[in-house]
Amino acid sequence: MTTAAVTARRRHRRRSLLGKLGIYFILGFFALLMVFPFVYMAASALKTPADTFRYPPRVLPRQPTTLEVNGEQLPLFLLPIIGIDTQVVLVEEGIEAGVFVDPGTPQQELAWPLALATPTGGQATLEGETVEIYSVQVGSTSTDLALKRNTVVGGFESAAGEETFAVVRTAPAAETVSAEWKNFSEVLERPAMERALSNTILVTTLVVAGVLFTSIMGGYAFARIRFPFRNAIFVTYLGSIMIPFIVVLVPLFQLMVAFDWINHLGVLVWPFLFNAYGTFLMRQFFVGIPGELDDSAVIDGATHWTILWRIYVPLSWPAIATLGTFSFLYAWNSFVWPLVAINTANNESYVLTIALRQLGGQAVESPNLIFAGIVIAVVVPIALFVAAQRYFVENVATSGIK
Amino acid sequence: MVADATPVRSTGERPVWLVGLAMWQLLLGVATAVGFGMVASSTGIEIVGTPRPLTMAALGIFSILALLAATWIWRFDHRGRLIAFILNLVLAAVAGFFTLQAVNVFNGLDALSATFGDGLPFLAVIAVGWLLSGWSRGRSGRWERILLTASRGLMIVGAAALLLSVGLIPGLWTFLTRIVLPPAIIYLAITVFSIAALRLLKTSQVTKAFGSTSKQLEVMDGIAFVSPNILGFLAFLAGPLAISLFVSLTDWDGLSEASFIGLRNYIDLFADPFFHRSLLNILYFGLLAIPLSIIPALGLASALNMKLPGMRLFRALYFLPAVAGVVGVALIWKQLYNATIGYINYAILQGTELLNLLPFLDLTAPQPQWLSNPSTAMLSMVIVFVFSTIGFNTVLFVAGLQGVPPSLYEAAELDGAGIWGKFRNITVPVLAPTTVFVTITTTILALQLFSEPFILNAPQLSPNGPANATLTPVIYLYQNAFERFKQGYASAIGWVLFLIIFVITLIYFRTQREEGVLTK
Amino acid sequence: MKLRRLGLLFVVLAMVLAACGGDTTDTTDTTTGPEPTEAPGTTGAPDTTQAPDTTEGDGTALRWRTRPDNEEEAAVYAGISDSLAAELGVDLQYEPGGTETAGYQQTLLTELAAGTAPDVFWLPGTDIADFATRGVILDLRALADASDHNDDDFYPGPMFHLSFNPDSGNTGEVLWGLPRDVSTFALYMNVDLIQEAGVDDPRELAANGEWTWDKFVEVVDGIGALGGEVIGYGQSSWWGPYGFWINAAGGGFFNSDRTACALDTPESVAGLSALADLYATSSVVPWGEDAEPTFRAGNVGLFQNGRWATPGIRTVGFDFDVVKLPDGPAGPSNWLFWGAYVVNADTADPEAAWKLVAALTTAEVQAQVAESGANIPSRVSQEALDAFLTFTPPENNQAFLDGLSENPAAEGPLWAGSWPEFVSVMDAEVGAVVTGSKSVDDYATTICTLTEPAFAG
Repeated sequence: MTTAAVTARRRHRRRSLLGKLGIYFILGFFALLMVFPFVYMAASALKTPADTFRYPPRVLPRQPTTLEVNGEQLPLFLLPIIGIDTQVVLVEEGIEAGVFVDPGTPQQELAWPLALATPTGGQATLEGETVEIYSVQVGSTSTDLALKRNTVVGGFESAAGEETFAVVRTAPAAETVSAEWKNFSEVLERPAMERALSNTILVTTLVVAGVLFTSIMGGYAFARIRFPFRNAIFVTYLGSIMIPFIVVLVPLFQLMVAFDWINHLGVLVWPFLFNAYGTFLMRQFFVGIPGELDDSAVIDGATHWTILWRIYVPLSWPAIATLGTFSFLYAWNSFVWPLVAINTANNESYVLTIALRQLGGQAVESPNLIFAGIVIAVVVPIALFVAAQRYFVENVATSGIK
Repeated sequence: MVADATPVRSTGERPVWLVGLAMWQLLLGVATAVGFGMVASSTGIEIVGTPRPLTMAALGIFSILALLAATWIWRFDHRGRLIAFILNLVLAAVAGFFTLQAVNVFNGLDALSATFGDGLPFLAVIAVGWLLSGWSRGRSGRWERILLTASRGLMIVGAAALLLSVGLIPGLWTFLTRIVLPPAIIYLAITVFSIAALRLLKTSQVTKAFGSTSKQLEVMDGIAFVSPNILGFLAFLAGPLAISLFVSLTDWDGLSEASFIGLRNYIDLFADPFFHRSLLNILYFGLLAIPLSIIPALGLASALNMKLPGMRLFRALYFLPAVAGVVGVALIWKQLYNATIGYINYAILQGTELLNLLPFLDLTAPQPQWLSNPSTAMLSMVIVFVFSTIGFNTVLFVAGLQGVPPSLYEAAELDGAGIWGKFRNITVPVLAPTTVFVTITTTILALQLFSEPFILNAPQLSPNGPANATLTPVIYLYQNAFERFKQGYASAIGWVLFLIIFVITLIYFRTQREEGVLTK
Repeated sequence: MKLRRLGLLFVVLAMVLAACGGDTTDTTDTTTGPEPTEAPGTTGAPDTTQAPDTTEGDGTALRWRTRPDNEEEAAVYAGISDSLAAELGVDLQYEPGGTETAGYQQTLLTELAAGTAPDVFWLPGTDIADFATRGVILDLRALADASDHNDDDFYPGPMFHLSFNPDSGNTGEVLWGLPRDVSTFALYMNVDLIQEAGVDDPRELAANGEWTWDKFVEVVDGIGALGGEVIGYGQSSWWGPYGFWINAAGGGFFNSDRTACALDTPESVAGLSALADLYATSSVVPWGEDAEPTFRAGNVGLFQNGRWATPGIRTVGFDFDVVKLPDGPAGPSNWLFWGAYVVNADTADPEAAWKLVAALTTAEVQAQVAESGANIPSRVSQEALDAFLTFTPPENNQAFLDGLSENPAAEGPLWAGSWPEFVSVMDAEVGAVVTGSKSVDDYATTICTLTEPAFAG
């Protein structure tokens, strides 16, 4: 090896290490962007409603720590007493107070009861307005502060009997990370959610079974059976993939009205038992299977039907898994057609996508329930995808792109 | 399948089954001819409007073909067999459909769904049994047999329990009580007879008698195998498509009679400011969303293709948004977009504060009202769309790169090519067909934007968004069809959109062909 | 192998059979193929048309539907349904309709087209014209005259529209339905936030006659100054809340005989301009974001909504009350919202349906509904008003009654055109102005031309 090549190699290796790190960084960054909303969803599904409206927002679910006082569970707050954060309980509410500031540092506000403040008679200017100076007694010290405005505070007391005052709304609660698992059962108890879940499973199972069956048969015919106009029919059938669903939406809807299928669960299944893309996928795969296998079977007296199911199908599990997964995702997540075909009043024929959308409107006060619903709707496709990932990612486009 | 044989014709002596077949075809031919007459003269069967000429055409054609088939069968002509096969196939499908419709099986899915929840655990039992059977294959002899029997037992027990729990017995009873009544029993009879005819037509004695070649038999097989797809396609896609074209030329409102108004809908559409706005919106959306969904995906895919450890994990993570479905993703983003307590604005705030640590910077964080402000509303849709699509496109590109031999890259490296050089000179050309595919599918998806604005704007705003900022053609179609009941107008919108998509796709193909890429 | 195929066949067959099971839940008993409807493209099998719902049972069965704002309200109506069923001796099935957001009216129209709509249903006042002119609701005048119904028992605002005959332009000849209840708007207040912000209590200002728009802005700004997630004011982005601002400035949506758009009058424009300023300069829940959940979470100081929201708001975790809407440049103003029970024109038993409508609007039933906190009875009665004041919280129920007497603009349908079309244009334009993407002057010059197509009928 020449010196030049060696140097090139070394340079290349150095560059490639840096490059590798760079690649991981980019990949990781994008992965984080993709995954964060789902992490947020999963964590928020375990929150209490109050926690979801909190500002600043946090990812992890938290609930206030409580202390049992006289048989009641009282939330604990964390307030500074003589500079040290102490755990306190709220003992009194609605105390007339004032917001006091030092005119020199107007950002730092102190909300303190008016009862503990005596006017000194002095005045100061604050944001262009004249305000009064009070002598405010905090603990054992008194400071002269200007009164910015009135407010209302609550009285807090620690276990040691020390007292302090703060605005109740903004008093930091002592919180622990804690998951509210009952969100899931609560969501399922809502009308139509549980039914939507079982409906979706039913509809998806039927559609996947139907698509697999028709696509395997059709794909085999287009790949292996010779009949007139086969290629022309195939190309036309394939061309139908390009037809956007919305063009067919309105007349298909009317056809369903004529069949009286509208607003019944079947309307989500029967028109979708066949799929041009699925047939195409299976055909491409079948074409790749060597034809000699057929010939030996033919000699043994096998019909097309037996050849298909005995020979071709067992060889095609990757393609079938791919097609099955795609059909599953398509059927599980389809939104526009169920939206149009099932009336909103018909709770019993909901599928998860519409039930979720309904939940999004009805449960606006409890976003945690919405998130719990999304988790339920999303966990099945994700689990299936993770299981089937091995098969189809290689297959998904190798047959489609050519 | 029989090799070519000399046709056996017994002159004057026709086997029973032949007579039966010919009679059946004759009966069909006559019956449909009578039906034709009844519809034509409106006696006994009353059909108004457009279905009438269509029904007459269908009945007429069927009748002629059936009579033709009858004569050909009589004459041992193979064409008769083929035609009879097709006719009986169609008849079996149609009559079968009517039978099931009459017994209300299609809508009976509702009843099944009510009890299906109870049956779910048994479905799980079946699934476990199936998994077990797959697992048993790798085991040693005795274990294999035990596991196999166990799995089979589980599946059978599970299936039985499933069927019982979802109401097999009452269903059986209802089915029986319904099927014996006319018209169900009539439809059933027709279905049974046509299926019998089909089976008969495929037997070897018929083959021998007609002297059909194996090629001719194959044709029948082919038709049988593609029939579910083709029939479904005709009924649920081609049919509605044609109807849609016709409806777009009327002023139908879905409730009352439609009247033909020619191209009036299209002319109105041309002048419709809302439609113009929707086109502008979707153009803005497309120009942003499509490149953003494709170009980063290209980069990510080539990074993933470096075959470093952990790639499979990244691939799975990128696919996640596509797997999760549009409703869930949109609802999550709705919370994130909240201008006051949403995470995005909070992240911007934190980021700006971080930047402000630098001594010379003092920025105020923009806290846009993502969904409420007309300037950012469509941008919000772009972000959600890109989020959902970019992972899917990345995976497609990765698959497209699978076929590239690594030696190509190594050779380039030795020539001194850097990462960028390799990308530009190898990755991009290799991925050209994939890029076309991805661009086309992304464009088609983008032009049909509906669900994201529909969900993100609810409940306070209409799907049009603030000041119609997120009005898209499909939303406009939906509103016209299902809220304003102007189904003729909505059909016209659909066709115009289809035309636009078609033209754009054609342009893509053309540009690719010019660059000589598609000749692969 | 054969066994497997047989097994598969058995499973498929069994599923088919199971699908027929338990069909008593089917409401429509079509034992036929496609119908010879007017829909083009049906391959018509000549068979019987669908019969409207009659479940086999004793006597008449009626389905009726309302649009409850929340689950508490739905529970109230379900209870009323049960007691009325016993009283009237008919089989009543109450259907809580979709929420505001789920296209309640559109669902009804679709069902009316398909013949599956309920016999009696509630409609917002603004939709009466749309349904009446389509001919899908029944004219009850004959049935009403034969009973002891009197138009004057109810508030004149709703009755004007419910008895309006679009063909002749007169009132009193027809009767499209009976008003279920009326409602006015008020400001729900988070008293805790108001006290914390140290601003003047709006209830005191209202009592002193000082509750003007300027004072309102002061209060909102004061609350907003608390910062963080606290917002001063919130309202929904539909025409009710923003309509108040237009009305209170002396303007309105329509001219006096509701035949033309009046959104470009100086008063209307001034009202909208004031609202746009509010959104631009004060702490307001962003346009289009739902203010109610934020209010219920305790983050909004003042929230404009109607009385119907009260049962839901009663469950909040802070001290709340209501105050009447601030007086605009033209004085106090409010909406008189109403909805009516109407009868499906295709109902199998019009007499029973009328009886149900009459029963649902008796003083007793109305009192029951009002007690749950929702809405004010639509029968004019001092007794009812006095009783209404006792349905606390909120303590200051008088705020709603003030709205009744202080020149409310009655909600009403657009007989001279299409209300849904008018509203969709108006919503978009107003939204553009309020969010600052369209200038008020542009709006003023174009709004009434843009809404013209709605009047074309």
